[in-house]
Amino acid sequence: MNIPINPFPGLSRLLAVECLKLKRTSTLLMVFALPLLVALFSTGLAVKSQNLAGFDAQAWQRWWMGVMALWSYFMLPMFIALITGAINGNEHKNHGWRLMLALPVNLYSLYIAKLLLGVLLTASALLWLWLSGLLATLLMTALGAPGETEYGMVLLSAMPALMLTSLPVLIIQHAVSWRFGNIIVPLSVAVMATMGIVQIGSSEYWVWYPWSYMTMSVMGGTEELRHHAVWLSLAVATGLFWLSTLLAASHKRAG
Amino acid sequence: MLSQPSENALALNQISKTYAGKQVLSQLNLAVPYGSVYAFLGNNGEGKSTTIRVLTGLEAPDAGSVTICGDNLYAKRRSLLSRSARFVPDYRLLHRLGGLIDAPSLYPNLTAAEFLSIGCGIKGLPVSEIDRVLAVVSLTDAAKRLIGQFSLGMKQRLAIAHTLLGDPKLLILDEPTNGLDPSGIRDIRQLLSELPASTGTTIFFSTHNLDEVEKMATRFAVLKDGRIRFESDIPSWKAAQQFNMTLEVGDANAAHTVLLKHGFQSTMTNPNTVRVEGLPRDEQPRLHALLVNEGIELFQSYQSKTSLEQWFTNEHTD
Repeated sequence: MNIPINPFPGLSRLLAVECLKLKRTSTLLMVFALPLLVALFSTGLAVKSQNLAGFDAQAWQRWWMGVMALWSYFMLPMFIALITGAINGNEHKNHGWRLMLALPVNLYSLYIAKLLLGVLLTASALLWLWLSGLLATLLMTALGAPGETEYGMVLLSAMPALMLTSLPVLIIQHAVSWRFGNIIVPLSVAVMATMGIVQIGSSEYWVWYPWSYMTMSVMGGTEELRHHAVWLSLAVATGLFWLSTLLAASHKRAG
Repeated sequence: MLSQPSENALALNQISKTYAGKQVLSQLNLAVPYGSVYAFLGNNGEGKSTTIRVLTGLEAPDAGSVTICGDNLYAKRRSLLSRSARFVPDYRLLHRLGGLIDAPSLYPNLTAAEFLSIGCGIKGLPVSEIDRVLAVVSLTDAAKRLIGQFSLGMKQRLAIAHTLLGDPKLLILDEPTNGLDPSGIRDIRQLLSELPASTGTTIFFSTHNLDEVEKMATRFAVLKDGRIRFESDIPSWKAAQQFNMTLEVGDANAAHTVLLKHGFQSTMTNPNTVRVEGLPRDEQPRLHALLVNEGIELFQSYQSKTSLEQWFTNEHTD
């Protein structure tokens, strides 16, 4: 019988296994389709409502901010709910918990591996969003707008901040979809939370509302506010990570 | 980690489990010797699946211990969020066993080979294991087919193949022939019967199919009300069983009257045939002599043993 020297599968091996489970599913399609949809939608609006030939630097800036606003206000929370729902739903619908937990797998490692996969997919989607934006600017240039990529490059530097501020929401949605097999539950959480972003995000209570951290990191009025959102996110994410990992592993019962 | 010498591949000691106030398992004791094919019988709701889940680390018991090849599967630990200590499985021991619990847990979007690579990846096994276990269950040609296209029987075979990854010392199977056609049942029975001799694997399986137990198992236990009510090896059980006899006679009515008078459980099935049930082996000569001495013509007699199914139905169902 073959017993490996290290009988505990490392996170890298678990992560590879979790990636494999997404093969031939629509999850990877979402990573590419949703950001592209946002970029194309914004492009469509610009083409319809503006004179592309008069697209100056401010117009480009507004266009890019529109893309980021649409993504961070609405699409990113829903995207996170969908991918975490898909990653954990794989086990819920196929009785995969029975299979995984009867293998020599540490429950904590499994939880973290699935969370890491969610982080990687979200990061990939952000990168693709930026690339989609660049492609959209090329398209608008071809349609008559003057070329302008400077603000797009500036926004590239905002992507890491957006990624970090999405961590608390990722952890919350991952914990919800780990616990509940029905996709309706995490989606409902995402929909209800998204509805509060505009009102709560523009008030002093935004610090208590993780879903507003993402928009604050991009749309926050001052640089100080944007940095505050990032550091707050890291602190909240750290606490949520430990708490959710302990709770999830303690109460997981194979279905 | 060193194993303590043990006669048993699997041992349960005073295992108890309660669900929602109901005692499902009550001080369950069981010992599965190395190299045996051990069948676990019981009606629905008696606790078989719960036992299987406890053995595979899916459900921690409330009390008692489970040892696999001499090592305790569960240890009592206190978590940061819990006031009381709970049993937590030692995941390293799960390398020693292959488990199939209830219906196969498969991913329809993956091919058979990809699915098995999950187990290989987690257990740190070479990819050559995939071809080996697929050959064992005769699914080599289906390696690159999507599981979503598999029949129920193929899915069951694939699930069994997964349990064989890494050549485990102990297989724990929940109704392994469930959903298979007759040829598939025969193949899996043959496979599981041969494994102990060929690889030294011990097999513990639950089943409703009592014919399967007689054909496959070397030992069996009956679970009822959360406890083991009966346990035996198959040869000993067979030796202790009674026979049924069918007698072709000249006058069945007269034969029936004589047999009843002498305490035999006789029924008259037609004017020339009498059936006697529950006949101990050493009573057969007396029965023949009795009929002959009473002047009843005896043309033919043939016997059949009480099947395990009949015995189980008579002894262990309400």
